[in-house]
Amino acid sequence: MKIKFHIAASVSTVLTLHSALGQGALTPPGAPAPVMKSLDQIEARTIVNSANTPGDGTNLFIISQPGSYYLTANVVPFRFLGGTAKNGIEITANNVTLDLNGFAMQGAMGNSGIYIPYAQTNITVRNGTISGWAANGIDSASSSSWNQVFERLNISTCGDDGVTSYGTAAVRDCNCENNTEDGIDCFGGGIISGCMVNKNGFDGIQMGGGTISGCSVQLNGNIGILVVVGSTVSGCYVEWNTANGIFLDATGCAVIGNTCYANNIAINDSNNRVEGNHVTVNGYAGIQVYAGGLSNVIIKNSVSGNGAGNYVVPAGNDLGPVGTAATATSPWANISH
Amino acid sequence: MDTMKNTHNLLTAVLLLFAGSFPLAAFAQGSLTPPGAPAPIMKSLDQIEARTIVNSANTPGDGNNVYIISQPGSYYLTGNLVAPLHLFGGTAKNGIEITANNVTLDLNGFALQGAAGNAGIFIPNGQTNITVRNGTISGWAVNGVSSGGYASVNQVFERLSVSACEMGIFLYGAGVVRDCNCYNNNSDGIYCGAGGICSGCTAKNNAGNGITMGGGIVTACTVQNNISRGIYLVPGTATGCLVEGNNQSGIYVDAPGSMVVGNTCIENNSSSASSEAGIYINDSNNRVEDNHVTESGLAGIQVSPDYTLNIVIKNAVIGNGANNYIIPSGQIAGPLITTLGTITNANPWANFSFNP
Repeated sequence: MKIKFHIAASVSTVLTLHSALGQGALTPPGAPAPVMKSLDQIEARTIVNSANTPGDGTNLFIISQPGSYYLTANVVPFRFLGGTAKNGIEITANNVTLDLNGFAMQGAMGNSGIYIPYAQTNITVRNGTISGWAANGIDSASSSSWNQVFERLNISTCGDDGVTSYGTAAVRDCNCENNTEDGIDCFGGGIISGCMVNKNGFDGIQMGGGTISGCSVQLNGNIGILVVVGSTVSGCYVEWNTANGIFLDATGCAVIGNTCYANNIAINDSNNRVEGNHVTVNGYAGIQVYAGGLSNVIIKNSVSGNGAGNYVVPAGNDLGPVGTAATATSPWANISH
Repeated sequence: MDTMKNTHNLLTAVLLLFAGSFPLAAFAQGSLTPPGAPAPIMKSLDQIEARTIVNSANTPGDGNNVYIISQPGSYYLTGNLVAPLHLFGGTAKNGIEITANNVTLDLNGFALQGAAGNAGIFIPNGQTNITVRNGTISGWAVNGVSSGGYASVNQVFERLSVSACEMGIFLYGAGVVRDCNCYNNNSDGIYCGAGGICSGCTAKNNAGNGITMGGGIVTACTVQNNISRGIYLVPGTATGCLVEGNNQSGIYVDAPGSMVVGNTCIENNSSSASSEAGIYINDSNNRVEDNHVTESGLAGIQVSPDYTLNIVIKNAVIGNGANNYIIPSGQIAGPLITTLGTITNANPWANFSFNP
């Protein structure tokens, strides 16, 4: 009886003490909320496919809304088109980023790989391969487009140009080889940097007002770098292009610190500056200003291998004295040997 | 009697409830026919990671290759690739052979560990549009990356660390090598046989040349402690590089038409070989300008007596005594400024020459 009493007292004491401690509220702090990410949150971008970006009679896919898009497979249109030429992906919206995700857009019978028909703004295409399209690899057709970026792309064997942009664009770290016409055309100007542009059927690069730097431009079928609106060309390696290495068909350009081997620098306009370039072993002239070109400044270059044609500069231009470094006293002298 | 009453009340309640439900049935109801087949409304895992995993199921190998990528597309690793001897019964295999065009391979931060293998990445023919990026390649008996086709087009190798192979990255054709590190390989660190662009790379402690460029640009690279030359141009442009402690020349030009501009060369040609220098020119018609060359073995800037018409201007060479510049006749060199203090020589092409 006594034992039972002690047990009862102990249990009572424990229960009393326990109930004296503060307890959490039994009311939930709020509605249950997800604490983990969904798959859509992990990959929030939109897949380019027939459901999300349906095409039409001339485009396999159309991106018509702003956003971030990506590929989940190669784009191979000849399987689907029954012979009709289509663009791969048309972008008709502003504010679009398209990640090719390492995949290839293989054109075969298609038209252009990426087609940007209107005056789009803020377009980025990156990270993949575009090859074999009957027209251009990338075709941005409006001169009113701006903030376009094309980067880390390999573009080859397209029937026209690798990249052609009539608006302003930055083409960065792209390689364009073996296209039937030009490698990269930025008619609307912009930046072309760190690109390898080889073996295209016509010009390597055409620039309509901007900066070309750190590019390797070799073995193209016509001119290596053609500038048609005032631009800067610097730090490029230009070799064995069939016509000129660098051709200025514009006024107000600066051509600085380039290496031209088996290629020359030609100027077909006025008011340009050609400085610190190294030009060797050309077919006719090293640095040449065509008749009619005036007020071009040609200084501190070195040219060899063309004899009397190292510098062909008519009157009316500002040519640093031509001589050897050992004897020149002018800081603007051009070296010739 | 009470039981009957209760039963009656219950029946009445049920009937009232049943009757009360009729007005509801008078409202229009949605069709019971589903609007269509169920469709996915969320992404699948394959859509989130759409690229193809490199493994024995997707990219089966053969007797010479652990894996073969034979179709265009985007591929990635999900683990290290270890090719130890015991897996192959002594047969040397390449890690991943790429036989298709239009391939992007992301090593995804993983390592290709060669042991007795052949090459880490093997591109046997003239493939087009190949990108390999983002990982480690080490210990392959041949090269870390071996691209054997001279006609290869649009090849890019970026963000790779390659060590303890024969050559680190070997390209017989043209290509771009960007932001790669090549250490401790048994021959050259980076070899671009047909030119291209090599930028932002480190080539260190290789048993051959640090970087060999066969017609292109070498820029903003760090090239140190290689057993042969630091940068070997045949031809090309070398600009903005740090070249230090290489056993032979820091920069060696072995073709005409090259430009060596704005590089820093420290303590190269540590072997003091006679036909080497901080910068050595072994052909004609090259331009060496604005380089800073210090404490080289034998000579700072040297031109081979067998060639002519090289231009050496505006450089600074320090610490090679009478051999700061070895410029034979037939070259074009700016005059030397050798006196300390305020510069009075106004020649804009002058080279600086000092010995502390």
